[in-house]
Amino acid sequence: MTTPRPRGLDALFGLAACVGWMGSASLWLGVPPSAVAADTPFLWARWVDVGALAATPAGLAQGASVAVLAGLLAAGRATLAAELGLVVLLHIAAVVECAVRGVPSPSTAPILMGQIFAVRALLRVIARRRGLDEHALTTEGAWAVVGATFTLAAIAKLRVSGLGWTDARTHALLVVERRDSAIPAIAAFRQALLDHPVLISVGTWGTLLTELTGPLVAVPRLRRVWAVAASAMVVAWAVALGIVLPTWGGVPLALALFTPRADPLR
Amino acid sequence: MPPLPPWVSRPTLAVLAVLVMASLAVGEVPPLSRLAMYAGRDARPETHVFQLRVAGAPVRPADLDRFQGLDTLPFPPVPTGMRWWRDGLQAHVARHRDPSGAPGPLQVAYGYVRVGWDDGRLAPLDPFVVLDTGTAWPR
Repeated sequence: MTTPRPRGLDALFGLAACVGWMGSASLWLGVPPSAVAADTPFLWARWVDVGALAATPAGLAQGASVAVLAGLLAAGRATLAAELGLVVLLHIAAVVECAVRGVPSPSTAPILMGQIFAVRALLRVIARRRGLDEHALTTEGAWAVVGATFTLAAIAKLRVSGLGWTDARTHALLVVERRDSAIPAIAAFRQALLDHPVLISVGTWGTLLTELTGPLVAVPRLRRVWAVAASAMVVAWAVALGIVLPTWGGVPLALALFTPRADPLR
Repeated sequence: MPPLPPWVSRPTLAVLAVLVMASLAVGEVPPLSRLAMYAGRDARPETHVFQLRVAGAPVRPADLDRFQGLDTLPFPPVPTGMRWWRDGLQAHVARHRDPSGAPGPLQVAYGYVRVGWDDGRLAPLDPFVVLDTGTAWPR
């Protein structure tokens, strides 16, 4: 018995590819960096500034290509070609973003989605050649990418900063910088964090612990619990620091929602 | 290598391990990355909080409209992580200028306040430094 094609997951991955590409491309296509920071409590509108992206020929061409490939993926047409195309476009977005911004590491969204599509394409080819359950194997691959991504983020923190990364006093400075520009409810929450730095410590240690336990995605019985914790962590980053990473929060939840409860390969 | 317990997904664990090792070995070659973007611990003892103020109190730029003045919005090289906010403010003010040229009823000051730890709490260490001024209307 083979697993049916995960239509919902494919549609959400297509959407995440568009969001991830726009998050990266808007940084090198001249969209004012977070012009919306003054308008909204979050930076979300940078990702949906379609008008600004469409005004640039390169943005229009690449954005339209990403949208078409995401549509093919969602429709289940030419899935392998769509995934490979998305890998290429996300790769270009990430490389150009690094060059334009002069930073070694691009936005996290194109990295996560690029890895997911690359791994899914590779596993799809393997499954087709060996007669394996294609959809189950590619879904397992997506889980692996999510687990690896969070694990790598934890390793990076420990390599660069050590356990000192969890220092509440350092993170409190980031919170106070972002307090006054938030809507009143969020500003009040951030002030509560500043009044009780132990809550910031809970957040930093919780972040490190959740990321370090990324390999739990290899245990089907535990992966849903882990995915909820990971998504809650990403929401907490948004509320406490205004750091909005929709793909990091959405992809684990999408996988938890659309993966069969039983281990599909067993 | 000991056999894996039956409750572990072998393909997931194998792909995860390969990705982690490859990323650590190769580094920033998309789609691989060591994901060090938020890994740095900027262990500065204080920061400079940039603000818009009306009547001495911080206000959200989104609560103001029809700006006059605030033409330069300088960003001096002080320790802070608020460059993104100032860039956003610049774009916001540019998009919401008063075409009539008439000054608004609110006196707006742009500047920063140095904030650091004082007796276990974050507190302003110096008075607010005004860098630019203008007027606006409440939204």
